[in-house]
Amino acid sequence: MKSLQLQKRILSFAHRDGVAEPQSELTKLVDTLGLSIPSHVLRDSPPQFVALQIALVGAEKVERHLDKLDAESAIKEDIQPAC
Amino acid sequence: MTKSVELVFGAGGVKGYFHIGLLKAVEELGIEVSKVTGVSVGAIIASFYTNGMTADQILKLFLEAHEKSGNPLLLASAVTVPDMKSFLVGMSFLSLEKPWEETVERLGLTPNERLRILACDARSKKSVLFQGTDYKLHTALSASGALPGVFLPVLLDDKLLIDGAAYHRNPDEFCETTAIISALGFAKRLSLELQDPISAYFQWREVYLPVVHQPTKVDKERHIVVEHQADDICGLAFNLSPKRCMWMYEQGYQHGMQVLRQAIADGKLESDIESTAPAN
Repeated sequence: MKSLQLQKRILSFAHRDGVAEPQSELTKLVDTLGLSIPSHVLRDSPPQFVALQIALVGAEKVERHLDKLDAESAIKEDIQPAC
Repeated sequence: MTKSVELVFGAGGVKGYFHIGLLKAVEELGIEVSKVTGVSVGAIIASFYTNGMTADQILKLFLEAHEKSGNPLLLASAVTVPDMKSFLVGMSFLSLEKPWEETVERLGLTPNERLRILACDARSKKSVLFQGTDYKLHTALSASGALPGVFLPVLLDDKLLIDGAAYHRNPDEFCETTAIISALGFAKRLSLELQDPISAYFQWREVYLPVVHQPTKVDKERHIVVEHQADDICGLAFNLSPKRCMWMYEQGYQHGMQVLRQAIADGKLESDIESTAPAN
């Protein structure tokens, strides 16, 4: 996936429903995937830039991870009891 | 020997790929960079770099943007109705301001203390330097690349700002220490590569009828100058093949590595890397 498209997807992930602090969601993503992004970038840069860095550094790794999370949440939705 | 140096990325449109190659060499040699001054395409690369991107990341973004630039619809957001004052200076209906405002916002780029961007006051022909953190990055980038005859100037306070290259193509006067100056040469002949009519027109203009005079002289005693030459590539030849773009990047890297290694051997530069013998 192209970097800017992936950046958009990462930002949507960080801003998904129920997330109180999108910035810390990005930091969590970096930690989980073991991406090498300088701490000052994570701390001081706007979320758009952090997401772009994640897209540029992580690329396929991030995509696979987000695909996995999407699939898991789809399964969870499937097993919700009907009201 | 200089512990840290500054970088100057000169103007030159699509030839900015040379800058990215040189930046890769700077990274590999472990040269510590303090401030970065940029003009036009050089300002774009300087903004990306001082915001924390590596040469590889900048190259990737450039190639991705290049892939899209064949689509003339992308220019739609640049088309504007100019006021008479701006039109007389720019002779154009294209403004970089809106596209840059959107791009800076989308990428999350910010002005920072390591970055300087040069534009030029169209009336006085004096320099207008954006530095520090109290300015709008998209305004600086739009002004710095507003080549008259192609793009409209940027109105800021009472000034009409145009491409910084009209003041100096490779400005070294703002540097506080020794700088590595990445200078992009002018096109000197028409390309044999197949071109679309717009690129062919701009190349003809650049070679035979330059719109503005662009001073290029730099202090070669004080600074380390890396001159990149591609006689048949016009700065506005945005439809170049990716192969040619990569050629510029590789040339920038190889030539840059050679000049920088020589500067290290001569004691003008300091490198973190042990083996820095000049390349043959």
